[in-house]
Amino acid sequence: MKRNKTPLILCLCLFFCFTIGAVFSYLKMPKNIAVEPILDSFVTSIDYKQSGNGFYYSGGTKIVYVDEKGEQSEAIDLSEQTGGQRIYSLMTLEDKNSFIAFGDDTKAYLLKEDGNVLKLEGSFPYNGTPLKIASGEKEFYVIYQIGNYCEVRAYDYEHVSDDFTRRGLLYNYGGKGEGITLTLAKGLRIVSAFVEDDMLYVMHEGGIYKMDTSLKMNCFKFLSEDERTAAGVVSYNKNSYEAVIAEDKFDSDALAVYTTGVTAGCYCKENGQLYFITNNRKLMHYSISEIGSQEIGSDLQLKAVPDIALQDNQAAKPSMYYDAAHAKGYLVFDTIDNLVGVDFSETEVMFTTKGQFDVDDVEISADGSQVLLMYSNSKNGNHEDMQLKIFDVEKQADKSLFTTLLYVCIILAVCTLVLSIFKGMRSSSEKYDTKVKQTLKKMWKHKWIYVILTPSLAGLFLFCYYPGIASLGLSFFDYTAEKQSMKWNNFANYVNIFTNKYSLEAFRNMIIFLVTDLLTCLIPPLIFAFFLSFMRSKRFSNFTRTLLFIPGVIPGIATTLIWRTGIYGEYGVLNALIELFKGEPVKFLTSSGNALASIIMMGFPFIGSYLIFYGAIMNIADAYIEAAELEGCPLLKRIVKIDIPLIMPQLKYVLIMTLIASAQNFNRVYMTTGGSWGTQIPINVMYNNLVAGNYGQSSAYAALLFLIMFIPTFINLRTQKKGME
Amino acid sequence: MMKKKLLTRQSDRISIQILSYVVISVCLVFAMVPLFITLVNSAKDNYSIIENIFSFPQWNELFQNIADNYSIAANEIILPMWRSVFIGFVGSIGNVAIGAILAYIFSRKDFPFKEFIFTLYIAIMLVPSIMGMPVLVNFMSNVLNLKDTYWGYWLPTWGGGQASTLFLFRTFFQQQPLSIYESAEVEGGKDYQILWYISIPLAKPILMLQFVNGFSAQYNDYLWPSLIFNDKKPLMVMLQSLSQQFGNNSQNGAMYAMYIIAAVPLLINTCLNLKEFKSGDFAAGLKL
Repeated sequence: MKRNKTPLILCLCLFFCFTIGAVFSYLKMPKNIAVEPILDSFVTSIDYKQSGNGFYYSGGTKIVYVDEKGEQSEAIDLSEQTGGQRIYSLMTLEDKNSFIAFGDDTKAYLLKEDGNVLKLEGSFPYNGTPLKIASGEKEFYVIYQIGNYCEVRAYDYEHVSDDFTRRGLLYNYGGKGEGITLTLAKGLRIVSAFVEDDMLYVMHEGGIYKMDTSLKMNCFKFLSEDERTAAGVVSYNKNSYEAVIAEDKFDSDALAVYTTGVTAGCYCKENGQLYFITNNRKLMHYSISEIGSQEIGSDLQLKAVPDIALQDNQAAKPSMYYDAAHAKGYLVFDTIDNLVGVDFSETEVMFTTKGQFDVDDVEISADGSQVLLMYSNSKNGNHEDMQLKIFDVEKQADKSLFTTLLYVCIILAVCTLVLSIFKGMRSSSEKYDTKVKQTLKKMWKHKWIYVILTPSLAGLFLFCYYPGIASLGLSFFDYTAEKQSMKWNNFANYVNIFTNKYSLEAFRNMIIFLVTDLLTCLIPPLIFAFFLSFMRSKRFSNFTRTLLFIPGVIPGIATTLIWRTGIYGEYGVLNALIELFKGEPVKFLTSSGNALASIIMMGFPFIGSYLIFYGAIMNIADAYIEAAELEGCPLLKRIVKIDIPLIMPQLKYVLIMTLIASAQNFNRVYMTTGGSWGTQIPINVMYNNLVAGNYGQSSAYAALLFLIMFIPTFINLRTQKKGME
Repeated sequence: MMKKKLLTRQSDRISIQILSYVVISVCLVFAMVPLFITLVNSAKDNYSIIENIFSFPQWNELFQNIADNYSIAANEIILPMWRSVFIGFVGSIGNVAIGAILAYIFSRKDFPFKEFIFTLYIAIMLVPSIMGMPVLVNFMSNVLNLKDTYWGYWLPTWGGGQASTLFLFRTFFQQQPLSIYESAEVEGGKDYQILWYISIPLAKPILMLQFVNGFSAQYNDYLWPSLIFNDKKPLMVMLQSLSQQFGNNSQNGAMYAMYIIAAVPLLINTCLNLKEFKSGDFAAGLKL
């Protein structure tokens, strides 16, 4: 009878569908790239490349280029120009394929993109702290913080090295009276600056400053008395830089200030909208064209952007970064750890990422497909902790969706595969079919067994198999606690072990310990056991055995420490004896010559496992002994030829156990010398690496130790299995 | 009727006997030195220890010193010691319980894939625990968020310990007489009843032994607790730092007292199985 093949075909089809689905999800999943800075010092600032994709970051005296795949190359080294002082800030000059690098040497450098490298086009001195840059057609404007006020300086692109052409202060607009009072803008948090229609807009804490690029209403500090009077200044205060200007002389087109009541914002050139983010995570906007219609000094009536809903978390100081070319904004909430991407033109939230970020800066690549995040994992905002990560904007949007899709597809694919195999086998042979049915029935009958076994097996896999195999795998990567990079490092971990003098010494020590441990664990206990068996007085024998079990009760670590201070120490037993014979105190554990030998001799007189031998010797049948005595066999010969072969199983057992334990004996070295003075052993090095977070290196040591211990462990297992069955 | 005469052996010669007594006594003395100086010095004040480690404490100062040293030591280690005892106890009981249940299943029941699953348990005994520690630390801390918790210690201990416990117990369960089981089943006994009333009582010696060994191993364990615990450190992890602290504070007497106190749980533990340790019969009985 032809068996029904339909279920099989159906299962196979489903399997292919799900496999394709899984592959598709995997391809579509966003790949975030962690960028490890190739500098010696930490990252200070980031910027994006305008002529193409990728980013720049600065650190030390260098600027490094990172392309969209995360490949890095040095773009320029300004150590000569800065005299070794570092570059700490990069600011973009829009549409000019260049940016300004500010150095600790109070010089600013104009750098132009040339392929992936940067060319130095000019430099100018500056003072104060540069906060923001706005770039116009022929000029660009830098806003500096000098003391506790802001100064704007204009520079000509072509003649940057001639320093600024004009400058002015950031003024607040006061009321009318004698005239318009201009006071210095207090508060220095500039969130954005841009040029639109020959007007410079500075978005400031709680307000917007709009000024003519000629800065004519801002420059009073830098004019002479006569010039001021000519401009219409009624009074000027040299200390506070306050100026009162006659109303008719005040050009309201040249300076206007509005309040907004928010602290973060950016300007979207495409739709002419200013976007603000309020402290309670509302997105507001205001049309720039309407600014002129407002009364100067008044509060801008921001409108809420209705369709954008941001997550409801506790309020935090927000920041915004704006991708001019693609009308996309990126909102960061400083103390909260996520980055929200908003598409302004579509007015929708693109994605929200989560992570341990304390975001310092965000840059968007020129084509808008990647975002570089400079963040730190610690909350104290130290620049030393700054890390870089590139996020894929497009794919980022659907990350959770595709991840779920991927997992579901994989699980379903596996299930359908298994099912189709079964169906196939069942449909091909009747005998197999019945066998499968029988097995399934039996499994159902014992279902509770499987229920009990499941958590047990799960524990076995989770805590034994998975860590063991994964550790082996980790040893091939550069994995550390800080930089979790899965970068194949070409056996670097292993090469390091074999070439590092320190670790070679560790392995040498391990072999020395192995040999001495074998000697001390086999010979002295054996001799002691034999002598104990010779003793005729049972009472003394019992007394000895009882007495000897007491030191075994003290914890191993305590015994080691007692040896360390009480016996080997400066005031310990050995030194006391030496002093008795008028000798000089000897440093047992703290000198390279003595340390290794001292550790080896620890545990003298080495009668540890005598009990096993004693038990075995006592169990030798009297018949053998008596036969030997009758033959006139000398004692030593009898021991060697008869007794020892008869207790060979116990000897083997102790041998194997000693081999296994010796390589893993961690406390002995750790508690006494910590590995110094030439006593390091591999398991200690592994532990040190583990605690320091070098998981990759530590796994390499663990893997080697495993290889070394594999043979005795395997033999032990086989022997036990044989013996138990 | 022939009188049975005990044959003198060569080892009964006087020279051998004297040699035996000398060797044994000398070894005994050396073996007891660490314990001796610990006990004696725990009853001395710091200055006497530094002056001469061999000296006996003054009789009139004896009780005062003991009270001082032991109370200082007890104060410092009572909390970590309690933690050690607690995690050792629960850890060992858990191992024994899981092992007993699994051994019952594997020795009394027959089900599909039994041999394969058993091999899975045995295979893990080839891999020493240190092999997996790098990933395990990472896994417990970051993925499961169990760093610095007791479960973070127990779960891997149980997960790894079940293999050897299962192996050991299964043999003993298999050796138990079949007739008792059959009569129990005829009487309509359920599996858990059989396990609780028959298997476990019959295997009590080996269960006790495994518990004692397990407790001792976990109480003495340094490596895994030091990796998984930060604030709730058990005794062994703290022993070294405490002893250095005592040394720096010129409290060497308290340091030695601390070692004695630390041995108390192990002493109690070993007493539970005193017979086995003294006779060495069990060791000889290990079917090797």
